Parts: sequence; structure tokens; C-alpha cells
Amino acid sequence: MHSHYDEDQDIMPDFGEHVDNGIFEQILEMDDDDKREFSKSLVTNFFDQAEETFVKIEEILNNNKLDNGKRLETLSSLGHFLKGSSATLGFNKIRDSCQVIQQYGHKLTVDGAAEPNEQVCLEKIKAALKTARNDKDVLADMMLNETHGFFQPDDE
Amino acid sequence: MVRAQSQVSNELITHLSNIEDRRRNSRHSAHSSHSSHSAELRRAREILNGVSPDSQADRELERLSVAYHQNGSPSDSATSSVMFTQGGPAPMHMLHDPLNDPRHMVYPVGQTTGIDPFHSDHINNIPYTRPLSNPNPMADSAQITPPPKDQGTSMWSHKRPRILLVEDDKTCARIGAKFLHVLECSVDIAKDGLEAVEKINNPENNESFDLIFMDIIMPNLDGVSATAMIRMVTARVPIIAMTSNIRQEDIQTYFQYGMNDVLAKPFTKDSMIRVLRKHLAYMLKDPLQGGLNSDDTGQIVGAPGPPGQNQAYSNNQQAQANMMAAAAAMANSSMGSGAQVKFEQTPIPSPATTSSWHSPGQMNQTSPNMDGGGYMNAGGSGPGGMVLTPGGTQRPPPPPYQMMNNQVNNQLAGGSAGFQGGGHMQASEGMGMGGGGSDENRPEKRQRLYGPGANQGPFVQ
Repeated sequence: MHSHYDEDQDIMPDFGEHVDNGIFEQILEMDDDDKREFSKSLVTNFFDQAEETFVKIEEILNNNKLDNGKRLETLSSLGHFLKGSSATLGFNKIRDSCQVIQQYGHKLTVDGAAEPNEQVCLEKIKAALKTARNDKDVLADMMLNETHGFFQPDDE
Repeated sequence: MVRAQSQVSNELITHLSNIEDRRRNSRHSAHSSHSSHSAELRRAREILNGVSPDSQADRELERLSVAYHQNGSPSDSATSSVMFTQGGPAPMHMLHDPLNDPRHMVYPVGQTTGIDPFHSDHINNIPYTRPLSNPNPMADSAQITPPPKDQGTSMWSHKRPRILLVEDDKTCARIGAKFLHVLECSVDIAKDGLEAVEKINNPENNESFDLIFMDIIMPNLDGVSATAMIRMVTARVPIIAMTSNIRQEDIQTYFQYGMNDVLAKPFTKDSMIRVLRKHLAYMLKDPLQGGLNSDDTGQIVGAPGPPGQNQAYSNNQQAQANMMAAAAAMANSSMGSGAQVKFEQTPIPSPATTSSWHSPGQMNQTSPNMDGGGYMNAGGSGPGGMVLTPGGTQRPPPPPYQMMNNQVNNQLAGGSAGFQGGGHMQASEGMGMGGGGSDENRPEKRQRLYGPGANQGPFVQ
């Protein structure tokens, strides 16, 4: 039903702050069929990947047996990992939370100033995880909801 | 890891310089001096031992260090050893300081003045055959070749570029590959730096990639380390960092370790097109509209890479030209291990030997298979795929008198230059530097095996 990119600009809903429309449109432009096979599978896979990453982050946050330095290091790399794919899809709000996780994992504020208090860093990451999860749920609903989502089920 | 590798490299370079000095001072004692002068090697070994939690990556490093020795060995010729004795950052002037050089920061536009060597009118004037197609396009399971569509409007002239996309994140890799497919490139995906290095070293890839997009932060082996390792076997293929870390000091590091450009993440199709047009201008159907002054290709594509090595190599090229007539005499002089490079010199420069790091003007004549062709062939032909003989199988077979000299040189190399190789980098051997004996002769042995009959034709005139 969305047959051409040119039409999409009218059809594509406003995802608000959640999505960088320019970047996301470029992804949609890569679809070579009406069913958005490529972009849909990308988005679906991303949400799976995001959920897996969130679970890992939560596990680290709850694992008091590891020393804090090690925990922060792992959290930072998990944040970085999800930041890359969310940025490439244009999912800006999730990306920003990932950036927070990456930065505080490095014991830095978002502005790059040092934050030597590891407990503060862990709390910031915990808050960012909560935000990211919420944003992901909102966005997944906008994208994939079976009745009003941007991507509709395959059988149309 | 990269810093450690850099330190190790410096130690090895110091070691090579010392060996050279020693040999000059007292050539007869060269044989016995191995055991006594390994302070640099010991330090290098300590560095390696100190930073290696990743044993898999470490083995690669060790393997490549062997290659580095062999590649670096031409530095022993009298003309180039001076580059090493200057030490550390001295050779960096070849790099045209990427950050202050505006050519690295903007995408140049405008017409090429004079003869454009990339223009299709001139392509047939190149005095050697140019492989136009990839013999093993489907060799790799990860490779996806897009169906040829819109042939009439293709931006590429003869051959579609083959791109290696190194990216650990599946979403980014899929999007990047999709963009590249739409741009009619064939794409191989490596999921981390280690896999990228393996692909580069795979003999099946000896046709080589035309360009590499390299993520920076990856598991197993990061992009900067992978680049440093790839630069040991192929100096020419453009390597583009894909990263969101675009602070100046980050970028400086990327260039320092042999990357040619930066593609900021999140990348877009347009930014990828710009990179492809800039670095693969010679493959464009209409390079004049490629938004590229071809002079920049030479500068940027050719500039980085292990600087000392490149410079030594080009100096050798010049030296070789002068020495051709006196090849036999030189074989008995102090050339030592450097002599093996000499035999790739031909009256008509082959693709692999047209090395001109010092001359942007000549660099413009980059032909497609110069992108690692020579190095890659060599890299794929040796033991473990890693013996480096610049020029590799693209060298014409040597005439009989040169083959004789090869044998002489093998003896010289084997006897006096343990640092030239030796199969394995065992810590107990002091970085394997002492591993003299039989292995280092292999490149030349292989060449003799090919012989005048196996490679076609007589000595190219």
C-alpha cells in the first residue's frame, strides 16, 4: 500500500522526538517492495536486540558480586552497542539514553565531565535504562502495533 | 592494544636499525650477533605479554609481526635505513597531517585539469593487462551480490567495487550493506576486526577489496587494530572509519594507524556515496563528475599506512631502478635481505611495482588492481598466507641470471637476517627474531617454482 517513497512523506506519521525522520526515511527508501520487507525486519530485529540488551544491562545492574568498575565497563559497552543501531535507524530518544549509559559507564557525564562516584554512575544508568525501555515500548507501539502501527502485518 | 603494537613496532624498527648498523660495522659478525642484541626484542615481547588477554587476536598479531619483518626487511638497503634511524614520528611528514590538511576535511569538487588518468580514454593505454572481473565473486558465504539492475545508469565504469563492511552490529551492517547494494557494490560483511583481517588474508580474496568500511569499537579486535594489521599486508586499499567518535584526537588516531577517511555514524546513503566517489574515483564511469580532483586520490589513498615501511619501499624502488644493470654485483654486496625486493623491478613497471608514495603526480595513475593486488597476492601465497614479498606473483619470472642471484640472495638472507621471518613468533624465541634457517626463503622458492614457464612469457621488456 505504501508503494513509493514520494508518497511516504505524506503517509509517514510523525514519530515526534522518537525518530529522526530524515534518517528513517532513508531506510524506508531502501525497501524494494510494497510490503516494506527490509525496513520492517530491521525495525523488528532492532526491538528484539534492544530488549536483549536491556535485559543484559539489568542483570549487570543487579549483580552486586561484580566490582563496580567492571560493571560500569560492561554497561558502557552495552550502551555503546545499542547506540549504534538506534542511531542508524534514527531512533533518537533510545539513542540518547544509550549515550547516557555509555557515558556514565565511562564515569563521565553526558557533557564529558568526570563523575568519579561509581554509585552515582550506576544510578544514572538505572534511570537511563528505565527511560530507554519506556521509549522503546512507545516507539514499538507506533511502529508495530497490529492495528495502528506504521508497519502492518504481512498479510495486509 | 594498538598502542602496544605501536611500541612493539618501534622496538622492532630499532632492532632492525641496530642490526643494520652492526652489519655495516662488522659484516662478518652478523651471524653471531643474534643472541646478544635482543634488548629491543625483549622489550617488545614484554609489551606483548603485558597486554594480551585476547589470545586469539594475539596470535594474529604474532603472525602478522612475522609478516611485518619480512615486509620491513627491505629497509636494510642503504638508501632507506636512514628513514628508520630517524625513529618514531620522523617519517610522518609523508602523512600531510590529515587534520590540518583541508583535503581530508572536505570533499573536493571541480574539474581535473590536464589529462585525467582515470578517464576511460586512457584505460587502454596502460601497458599491462588489468583483470576486469573478480574470479571468485561468490567464494565467500557472507557475500551478497546484488542483482544487476539499472545497468544503463550505473555510476561505475567497468567493474563494480567490492566492499568489505566490518561492523559488529547487525542492524548497522544490514543498513550499510543495503545502501552499498543500491549503489551497485558487492559487499562482504565481517562481524569484527578479526574476521576482517582473516578475510584480507584469505588467498581467495587475492583480487582484494576495493574499499573497506571499518567500525571502530568491536569485540575480538577493534577497528584501529584491525587496520594496523591490514596495513601490514596491503598499503593501498582505502579504509574508512565508521564511527560516532569523531573527536579530533580520535580521528587523529584513525589516520595515524592507516585509515584514510572517516564516515560519521549514523551514516547515510549520501555520505557513503561521497566516500565511494572520493576514494574510488578511478572506478567511476565519469570521474570528472565524481566531485573529485584526482590529485586528492593520490594524496589521501596513498598517504597513510605504516609510514616507515612505505617510504622504505619507495626508496627501494628508486634504488632498484639504479641497480638493475649491476644486479649481479649487488647480490654480493651488502644488500642482504633487501635484495629480494630488487627482482620485482622491471623496465615497464608492473602494477605491483609502480609505487610512488613520494610522488602524488604518479599516484594519479593508480590502476584498480594496485589496490593491494601485489601485496595481496604475495600475502596469499606464502606459508600461512602471510609471507610478504612485495610484488608477489605479479612479478614477471626472473631471467636466468637473476634466478641465480636469487639463490645467492637467499643464502645471504637466510644467513644474515634472522629477522626476516622464521615461521612462528614464539615468545621464547624473543619475538621469533632468531628463527633463521629455512622458512624465510620461501617467497623466493615459490618464485622459482613458478618459473618462466608457469608465469607466462619471458622477461617483460
